[in-house]
Amino acid sequence: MRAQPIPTAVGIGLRPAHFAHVLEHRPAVPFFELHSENFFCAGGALREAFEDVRNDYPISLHGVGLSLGSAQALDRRHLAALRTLARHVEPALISEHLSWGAIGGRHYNDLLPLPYTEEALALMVSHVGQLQDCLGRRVLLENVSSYIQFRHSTLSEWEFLAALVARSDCGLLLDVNNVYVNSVNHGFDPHQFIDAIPAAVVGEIHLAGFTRKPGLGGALLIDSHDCRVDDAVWDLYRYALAHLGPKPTLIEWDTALPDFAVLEDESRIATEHLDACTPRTIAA
Amino acid sequence: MPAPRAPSLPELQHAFAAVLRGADGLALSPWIAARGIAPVDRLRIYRHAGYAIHVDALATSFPAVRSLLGEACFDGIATRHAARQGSRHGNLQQYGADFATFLDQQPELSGWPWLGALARLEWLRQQVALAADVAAADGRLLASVNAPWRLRPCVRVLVSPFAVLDLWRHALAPSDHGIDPAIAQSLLLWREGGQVAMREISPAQASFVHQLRQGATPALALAAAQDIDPAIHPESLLAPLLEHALFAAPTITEDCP
Repeated sequence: MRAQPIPTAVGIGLRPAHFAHVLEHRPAVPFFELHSENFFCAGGALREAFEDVRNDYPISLHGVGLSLGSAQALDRRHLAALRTLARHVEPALISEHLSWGAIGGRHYNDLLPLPYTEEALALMVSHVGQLQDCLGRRVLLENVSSYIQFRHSTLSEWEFLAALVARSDCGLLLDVNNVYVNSVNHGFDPHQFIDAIPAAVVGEIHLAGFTRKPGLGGALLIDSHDCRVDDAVWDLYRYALAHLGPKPTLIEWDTALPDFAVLEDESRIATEHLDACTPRTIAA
Repeated sequence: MPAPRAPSLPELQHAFAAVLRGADGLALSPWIAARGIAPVDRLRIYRHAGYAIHVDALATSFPAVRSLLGEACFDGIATRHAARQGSRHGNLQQYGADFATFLDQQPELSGWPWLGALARLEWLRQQVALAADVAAADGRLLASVNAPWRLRPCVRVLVSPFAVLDLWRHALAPSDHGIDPAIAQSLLLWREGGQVAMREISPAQASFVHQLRQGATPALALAAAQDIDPAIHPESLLAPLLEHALFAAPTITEDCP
């Protein structure tokens, strides 16, 4: 059975701790997004629960472990596992990250920042192409939060993203929280970032909570995914919707998971913004 | 004096990786914008986050080891493992395969020689939990003793010189009953109703199941079991496998071109 398409509505990132609640209560959530790697296994209770959710809801698969920006060959076993899962599940969307996480045979299992250079861009274009060829479909790439900006970058983050999308024909998963976190951590205007993104390439928006890291001598935000969306991010989300037009949006919460009702409440707030969206430039 | 050459992407990632394993980051600092925060402090955020990711993954996979060691001790050893051994996969479900051996090698744990064995049991439990779903075979397929009998992918055995099942149960549900860790136990593990199941079996039964998992014919598996217990009857070897419907058809895997 082919997966249902992702509606232009607000979905929720579904973590294993909430599977039982979702399967028992079948809440009216427009779509769920799940981490691909959790379901590389071929069986078991978690996989069975995933199949049940997939049968009733539109599904997006979100990868966190492919390390597309690593200066080494992509892990063929990981690619194969993702392809097997994607063929079986036929998710409406598949996404990964603009980051690296492995080098020299070691995996650091984190979304590490790249320098925004032509060298890194060429590598990303190559690896995204390999991923899309393997899957036989277009993927979305997500901008990541970062606590480091490399001095030898020759492009801004938004220029890098726009160039990557143009050269590799992938789509963009715009994480508005990450844009805001990076704007504080690296001192740029987040609206400038949003303005530089072509509306047509954005297939999904992510929203999440951040925390402030004290005691470092300067402002630093941590993309912690452990709290509600900040007011400043809601403001930027409204700005992004006005620029991009209505887009499927996801509430992410990964650590210190609250009751599912809290995620539904965040989803309700996002839906109010999405429903009120009046595109400023989408028709241009 | 000419400006130093910017690091290539591989050079930068190797230097960054060294920081994640514990290096100070001074070599990378000139290439990181400070903006009021020392580059080494910015790098330290990634190092700590990386350790936390791996400690959490090990805590999920090894709850009994964590319970017995206590949170602080476990976290310290898990952090050491993350720094020295690290992960070899982009999928954290596969992180921890070598944790049992790592525990065996830690000097401060020498008084608990059975801890590594307990970790082996917990790692096997994870393999059982994630194994492919395959329907049980019809018992009539067992007619030939010369062809291999395939077990369901979730079947595992553990032969341990320690009382690992008793230790595991005690770690997660402590009781007043005394445990002698030095009593050897052999275990059969499988999945039943979505949950990992375990029971103690004899060493000969464990050898029989191990041989079948390796693809041996029933006759060879029987011979291996009778090397351990010459008096053992084939029916007693088959009993746990039939009781829990652990025979299965083969599975198919694929690779990416």
